[in-house]
Amino acid sequence: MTQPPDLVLIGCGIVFETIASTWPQLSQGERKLQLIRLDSTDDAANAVNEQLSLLNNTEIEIFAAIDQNALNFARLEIYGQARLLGLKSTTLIHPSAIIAPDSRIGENCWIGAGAIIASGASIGNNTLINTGARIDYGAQIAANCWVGSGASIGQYVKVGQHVVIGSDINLGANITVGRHCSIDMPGAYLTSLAEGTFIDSLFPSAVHIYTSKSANKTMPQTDITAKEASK
Amino acid sequence: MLSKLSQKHYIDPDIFAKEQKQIFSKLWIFAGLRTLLSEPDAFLTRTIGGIPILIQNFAGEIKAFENQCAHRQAPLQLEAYGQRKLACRYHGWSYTDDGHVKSIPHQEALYHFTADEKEKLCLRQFAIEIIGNLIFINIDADPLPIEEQFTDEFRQQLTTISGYFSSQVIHTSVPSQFNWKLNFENVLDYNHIPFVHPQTFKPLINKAAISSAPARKALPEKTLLSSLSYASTMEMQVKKWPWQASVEGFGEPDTFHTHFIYPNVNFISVGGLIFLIQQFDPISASLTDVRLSLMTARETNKIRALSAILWGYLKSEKRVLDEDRALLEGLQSNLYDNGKPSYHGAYEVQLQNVAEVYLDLMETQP
Repeated sequence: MTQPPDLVLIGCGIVFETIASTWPQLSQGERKLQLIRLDSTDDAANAVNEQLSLLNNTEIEIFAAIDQNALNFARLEIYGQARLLGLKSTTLIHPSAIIAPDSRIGENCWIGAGAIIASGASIGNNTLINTGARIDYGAQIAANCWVGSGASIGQYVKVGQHVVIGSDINLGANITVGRHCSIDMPGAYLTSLAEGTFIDSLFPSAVHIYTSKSANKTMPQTDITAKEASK
Repeated sequence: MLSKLSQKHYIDPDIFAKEQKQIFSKLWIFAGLRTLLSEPDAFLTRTIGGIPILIQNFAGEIKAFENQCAHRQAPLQLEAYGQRKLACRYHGWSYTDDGHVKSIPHQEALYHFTADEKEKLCLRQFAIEIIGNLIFINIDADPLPIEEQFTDEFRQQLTTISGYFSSQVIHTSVPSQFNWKLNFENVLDYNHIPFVHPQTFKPLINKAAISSAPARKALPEKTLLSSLSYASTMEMQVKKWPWQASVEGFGEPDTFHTHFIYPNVNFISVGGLIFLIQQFDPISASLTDVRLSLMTARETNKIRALSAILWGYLKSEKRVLDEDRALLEGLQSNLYDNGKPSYHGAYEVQLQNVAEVYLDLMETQP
């Protein structure tokens, strides 16, 4: 039987430390673990680029483990850089997690202890599902997401890319969470959230990002005022 | 020097009601961002001077109307920003770009309006001025010429800097329990920074910028309204951000730009790379919605993580705002009807000027 490749764990934060400390359980003693621990998530890809380029892609797999920093873009920087260098990424599933056989889980995913992934659910690449989270029947979570500990995602929920769902948050069935959202106040959410919505205890109401696709094409006039209409 | 404003000016509901008429219904008030209204039917909604307002792009022309259906007063547009034809959700009435009723479903069967009646069913339109990417509205029937409120030089400055705005904006509103004037005075008062923001804001700015004031001198005979809105800059240690090579920044780096826009906006920029518009929207004598709109400079290369960048900066700004809010809410709750006015020193001359113009505006007879 072929020896599975060793794993290079790159990053910092909760998931990084959890994987590092539970590695004997995760690997069942068959794989070696090499750690590349970052001091900061700032400019992460550049910070590890040299080390990544020295790795032999036939002997190792990598796992990018940075928490939800910058809507998971920090983790994507490393994961994306590793893929560009031809390195293989793996998915790690804690032995106590329950995974339905017909669910689909991408690469560079982490399924934490006690998490449940129901039948028909799908998890995109580079998405981290934390301890005790529950993903119900048919739910679709896109790439580059974070599902916090104890969160539950109702059946047929659709979650867009780069979404952070904090700990102990419950998303009701059949709703859609647009991409680039962050929900970080525990509670039940029963209606859909538009792209670029942020719910956080720092703010008394939801914060929104608004975008105009053609705004940059329409520069303001150069004279000091453009009177458009008056009574 | 004693302030010309008494504590009553900050707590009295009658004075607040008068401000709504004499200031917010008479002056040009910042209403929103042109960058978000560049698409046909893109709109924004606001309440200014107590009047619900919608501002919408009609085939490239930006117009402002009262946001109330002529039928049963339902709002025509609901969201803060959006994109939708001008039509009422209640009974389906739709409107033309001059605010007249375009169509009324079942008019023949249910309403029986004559042609004359239909002609009179129209939305109240308001004056708009667009300065760069900043939209101002005036809801007065006879709007003040805008040059009386903002000088040519200031409008040119706003035009130039706002031309650097990116098309993605993060926006929120923070209800705060203080009078709107306290916040405008607070942003004019640079001396509060080391005391209220010792960890957040103070470490970034040059000490010299807040350590001296011009010698006290006699105030001019009459302060002009237009002198209350102006731009200033100070040195600042601006962190080098990984994304800044992907934007076209405004002006010199390591500069903190401030634009005081009377009566209720403080528009700042960190290094010409991040722009923040803070508006102190009056809700009642002791309640203000602090509206925050934050954007980066215009992208020259796509920044994939722009939403995360905006969210990160907004959280930082909110922490600074919360330091001000804690102070100002405490100040507001301490005011009482016959309390003493503030006592200003030399560096607070602009607070004196603001008070003088404010009282003039409040006393002006329509």
